[in-house]
Amino acid sequence: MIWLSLTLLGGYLLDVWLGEPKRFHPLIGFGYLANQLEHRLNFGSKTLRLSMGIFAWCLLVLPIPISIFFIQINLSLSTTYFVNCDVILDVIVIYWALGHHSLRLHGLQIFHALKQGNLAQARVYCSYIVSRETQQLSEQQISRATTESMLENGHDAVLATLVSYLIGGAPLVIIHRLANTLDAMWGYRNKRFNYFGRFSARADDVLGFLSAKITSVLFAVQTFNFKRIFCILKLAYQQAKNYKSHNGGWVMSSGATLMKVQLGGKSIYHGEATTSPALGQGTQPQTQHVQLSLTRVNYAALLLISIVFIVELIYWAKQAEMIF
Amino acid sequence: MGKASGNDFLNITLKNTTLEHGGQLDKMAIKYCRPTEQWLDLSTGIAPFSYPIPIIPQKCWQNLPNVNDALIQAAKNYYQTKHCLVCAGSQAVIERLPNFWRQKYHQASQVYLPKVGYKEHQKSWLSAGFSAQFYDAELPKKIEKHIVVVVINPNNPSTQLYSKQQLLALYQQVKSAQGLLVIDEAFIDVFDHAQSMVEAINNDHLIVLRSFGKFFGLAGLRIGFVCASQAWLNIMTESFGPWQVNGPAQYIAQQALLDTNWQHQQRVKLQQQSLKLAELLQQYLVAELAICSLFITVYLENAADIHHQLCQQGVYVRLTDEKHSLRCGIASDEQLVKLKKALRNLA
Repeated sequence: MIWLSLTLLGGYLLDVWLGEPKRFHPLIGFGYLANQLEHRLNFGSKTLRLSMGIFAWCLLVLPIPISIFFIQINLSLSTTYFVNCDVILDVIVIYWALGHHSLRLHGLQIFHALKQGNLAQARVYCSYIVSRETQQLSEQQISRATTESMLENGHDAVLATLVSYLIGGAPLVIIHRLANTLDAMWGYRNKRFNYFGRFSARADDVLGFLSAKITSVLFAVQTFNFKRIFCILKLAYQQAKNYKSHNGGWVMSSGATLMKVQLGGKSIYHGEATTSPALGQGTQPQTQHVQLSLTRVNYAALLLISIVFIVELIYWAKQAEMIF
Repeated sequence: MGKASGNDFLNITLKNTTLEHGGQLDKMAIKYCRPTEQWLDLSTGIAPFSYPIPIIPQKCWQNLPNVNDALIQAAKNYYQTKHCLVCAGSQAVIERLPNFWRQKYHQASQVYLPKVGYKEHQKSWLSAGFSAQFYDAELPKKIEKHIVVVVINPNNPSTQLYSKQQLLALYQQVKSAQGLLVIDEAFIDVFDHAQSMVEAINNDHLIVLRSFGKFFGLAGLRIGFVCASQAWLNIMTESFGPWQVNGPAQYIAQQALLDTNWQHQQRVKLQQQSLKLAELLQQYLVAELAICSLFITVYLENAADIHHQLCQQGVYVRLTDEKHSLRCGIASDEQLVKLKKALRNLA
């Protein structure tokens, strides 16, 4: 049967229709817990901080996926229904982990504010999604920052979830979601987190390694041009080498080249100007690229689900042939 | 027409009249011969999702409503301020502010007001005999002695948001001119706390008005907060007298201000619905939109005509005072379906 693609599609559609869970989002509680743990464990020597960082990561990330894993083994042994119970569980987990709806919301409110020319509002909304300072940003700089964020988070919150499910099922989806949240909280190279957060940052790099490449390919094939697909991926490979985040570099570079814009450049973080290498190739991003990047992320997700569907269909047809 | 004659005109028209706001459904029902329950009322900027009313302890009904310390504590937490006062909606304060300021500085006579915005400010200052100057998008630059500057942030209906930097700069100027900066933050709850000027209060030259009913969808409670220096709060408390806000309202507000989870969900929901509303409006109207999570202002060439057509179909949005735009409150999914039907029938 074609359960894999149906499960992915189910989780995807739930997210589109329902958005965030109505009353209580578990990640808020998780964030609180992580903060508490960090306050208690992040002190002492470099080695101590490093190992405590690993310990805290394991303590926060692993218990739930491991329990889900065992629950699912039991479910698949005991189930006699037509629809497996673990399919339903999988759909719920994917829905929970997907942040597509929320990404769209954040992106579109910036897009609308920019289109109205309401710069102050756009700056505020932009500050919700990027860590650089937004008070002085021009319209064009906000477009750039937002487009970057839409592409990078399009990977982290949408495509990485779908790919994680294909690789490791619901447990890996949860591991990725939680690890990604911890990276956002602890993965900084400053005094407080340099050692404690190092493992979190590495873990996120590893967990997103494959999905970032797949996302880049999914962006590249949207050109429908063999030569350009190759160029996009080659450029992404080169540019990601120099970029601070390997996975982010790949997805932003390929997404930007697809839209014929160039991202990266100067920005101000915590009062200090930093210049990051160029990502992608083309003109400076404008307001419409915020919306366009969301469309491209959406196409990439749907493309992935369609490919899985076709592969499953072929596989299923072959099996059926063998039986008859 | 010169600026002065414009002001005189306003002086005459606004002094002793009752202003029209949104939320006058009864009048509309009579005018368009349609019973109120058949209307879709989007004329206010009040959230369509209300904070669920908790079970109210008997004592809240039984006792005289002295100001509840737990409420003030909750409000201080929510607004992140050291000094705040609960009142029966910010309207009560708006009406009295000119007199308070006069008592402090007899010679004060000038006020800067936003050209568009909640007209009660204008009415109140003009009635007290202040002469007004109006500013548009740009904040006023020339700050004279003891001048009062009223800023509505974000502005209703234009949705313009002034940045913290701009406001802090203005505050500095007002402070050195011994003036008064009044910031009406009635719609600011949809942004994060960093946008509010509440935390900048450190003397008698800044008063921030916060509204409770809009974001929490409980405008009927008539509850609001003033954040200002302790000296101001003392003056106001004395002037208002005891038992301003009824006990059940205090209790509900206290619960709502503490429920950060609900507040988070509300922000997301409002943001989501405002984008849906924007998409719908753009689909059916050729118009410029100004979007905020509590309302959308639609700038149209034929705003009055569209307003009339919508009313004929039982959809009540607010025609702004300038008659060049409609202000449409955020709608729930069911309300959006009704609105879509009406928009489709527009000529």
